Amino acid sequence: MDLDSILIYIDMGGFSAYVWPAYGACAGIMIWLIVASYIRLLREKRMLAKFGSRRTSVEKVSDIDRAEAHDDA
Amino acid sequence: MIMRSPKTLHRFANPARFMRLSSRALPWCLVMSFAFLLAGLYLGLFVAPPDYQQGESARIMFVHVPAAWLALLIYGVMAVASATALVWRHPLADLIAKSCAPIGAAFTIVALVTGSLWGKPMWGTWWVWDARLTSVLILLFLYLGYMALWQALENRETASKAAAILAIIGVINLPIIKFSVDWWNTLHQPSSVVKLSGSTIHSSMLWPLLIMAAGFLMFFFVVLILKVQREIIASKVRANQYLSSTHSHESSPPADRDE
Repeated sequence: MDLDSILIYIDMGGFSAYVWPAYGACAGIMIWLIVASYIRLLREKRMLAKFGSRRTSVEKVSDIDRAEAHDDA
Repeated sequence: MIMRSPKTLHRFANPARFMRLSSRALPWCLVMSFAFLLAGLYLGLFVAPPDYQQGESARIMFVHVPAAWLALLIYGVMAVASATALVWRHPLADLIAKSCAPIGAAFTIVALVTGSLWGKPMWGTWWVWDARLTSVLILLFLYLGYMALWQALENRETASKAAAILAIIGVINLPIIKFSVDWWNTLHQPSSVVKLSGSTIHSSMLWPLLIMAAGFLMFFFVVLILKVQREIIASKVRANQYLSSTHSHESSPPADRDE
């Protein structure tokens, strides 16, 4: 594959200004989605670790949420 | 009245079980997503031929169409999860619905942006208020509205119910998006892949498209697992914070004792 054929390919038949930004936007949003989700998960895990060995079941959490809702009302 | 949830639903309602199973599934979904996306990109960018009318610009289809399919699918998942949360008070359904919204919004934006980039060279305009484009824009507003409701209402139970009702009402938009190109005259081309009479797209373009769609779907599972796990852990953090605050409140001396 020589340089000319690479340039012809990159040119996308004159549509390079539309094709590559479309792929770029898609890749950018997908990378942001996965990286941001992973960072937020790590942040919550770190927050939970701060509370140490104190265990809380999620059933308990929903009870607490209900109690909070009741207090708000 | 709360309806009894089916046994299978109840089995998977346990967040601890979800954390265990999803942690095991996550690396597999991640590997499959990368494999499908890489194969789809190779086939779509190097193997698939240019379209006889649209030329190389038709390659935008390989990111635009899977993103649009996923935007619709995620809304469907969000609505079903919302209905499950409303009817059966399924503890995970609420978290799944809430986690779906930003992912769906992101893929709707991808569909709109890539569609706009495809529209400019083909139609001569970035945007047109036709039925397909407008109904997809409404889908984006539904996602944003759903997320805004969760943010705006402080009481989690009220926010969950209000957002669930919005998600269920918004389902009406899905068939409108799908059939908009058949019901109205639009600039957008009619369906060529998902049709009762069979696909009209050539297999050299259909296979890269389906493989990319599989990659996008696996990617959705990866991000969904990460987001739901985060929501479960955030619930535990909130509970611990609540317990800590009540504990410190109980143990601290009353204010008037010091005076």
